[in-house]
Amino acid sequence: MDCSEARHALWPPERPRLAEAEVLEARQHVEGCPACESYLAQDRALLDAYDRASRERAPQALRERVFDALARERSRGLAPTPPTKGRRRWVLVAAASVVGLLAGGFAVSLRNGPEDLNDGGLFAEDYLRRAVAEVRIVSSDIAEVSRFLTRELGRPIRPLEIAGLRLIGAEICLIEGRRGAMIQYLENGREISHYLIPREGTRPRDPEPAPAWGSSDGAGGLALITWAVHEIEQALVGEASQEHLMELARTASL
Amino acid sequence: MNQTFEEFVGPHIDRLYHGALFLNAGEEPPAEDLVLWTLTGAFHEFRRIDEGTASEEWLEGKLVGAFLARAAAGSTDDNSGVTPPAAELPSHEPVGYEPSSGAVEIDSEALFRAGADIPALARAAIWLVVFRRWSYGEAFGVLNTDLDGLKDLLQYRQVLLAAVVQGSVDQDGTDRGGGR
Repeated sequence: MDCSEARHALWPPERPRLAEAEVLEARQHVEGCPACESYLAQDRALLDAYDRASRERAPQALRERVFDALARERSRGLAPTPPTKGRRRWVLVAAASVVGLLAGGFAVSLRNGPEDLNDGGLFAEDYLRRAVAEVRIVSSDIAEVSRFLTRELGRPIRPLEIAGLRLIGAEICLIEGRRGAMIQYLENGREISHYLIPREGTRPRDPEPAPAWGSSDGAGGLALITWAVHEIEQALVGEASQEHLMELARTASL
Repeated sequence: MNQTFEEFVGPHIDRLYHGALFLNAGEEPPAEDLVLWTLTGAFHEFRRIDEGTASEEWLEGKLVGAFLARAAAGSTDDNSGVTPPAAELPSHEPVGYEPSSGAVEIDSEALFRAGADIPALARAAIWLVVFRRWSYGEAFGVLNTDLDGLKDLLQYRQVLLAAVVQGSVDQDGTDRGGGR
């Protein structure tokens, strides 16, 4: 058995394998062969270097490009509803507020794993992406919106029915690759959005202000509350006081 | 299949991006484009394949397939030709890199840049077999070659190693690779 045959027989070296005759012969060859010993040491060094370089996460912009492209692919065949002029302006103003919040030193980490959904950072990420969202429905009909969300998400999702909240529509959102709903309401002329992100293993959690956002004062009039019910992460975000959103969240979580 | 495609690929994007970065010799814009192109194509196949077929390896194979298709389609870069000319295959001569202890360290950035010194198909073979630990047999189909062809491609590992060592030297004047 030569070097090439021995390396082939033992590749990849970490993989457990049956001690068949070919494997035993290859091991015997490598143990007595300085060239193979050097080859495997070099291999280890190369692999270590690659693994070190691969610890960095992919750019956030790439993740957004991927999920936006997939959303576009998925929405082919659906009739995308273009946002109204007022809606677009509101989203951009809100997005600008969030950008300002970030620039102002509020540490919203977009690098957190799914287990950190309750810190608000990922909701902020999707909130910024709303300006280019395409899969949406504009309707005040609770049954119609419910059918849309149920069809898109494959599970029953029903908008809130709380006095004072007027349903205006819903969108499909993407947070760390998870498809969820963002249901939009108007209350006294101000928009409030309700996120519902299905996630297996999510345990119920009481509503609380998202630490990433701080107080509503610091967010330029925006507040964010997160909570969870069984297997669904939720958040309320909008131009309202933190106290008022907390009250709505408690009602919604009942 | 219970997972959406977005749920399926989410955990793999980092790994695919680093693969794309190596395949594109450390160039970020084409690496990002490759990931995007790969996943958009895989999205349509995902709906047609059997449950359990889609996996990390499936995506890695798609990435390499997309990379080779793009390389074959358009590059005029001398170093990115898909198939290395047989006459230029590197020899088995060892590179002047002799690790003397377990504390050997290769400059990671130099490793990605060094990919530019070898042909596209060899880069793909090295990524699958050396970095992603595919067996030779698993790599045949994706690379559209046979055992001898794969062994030839893996000889470029020596060229890569030499380029990494040289890159480390060029980077800061210190031979971190152990000498040449």
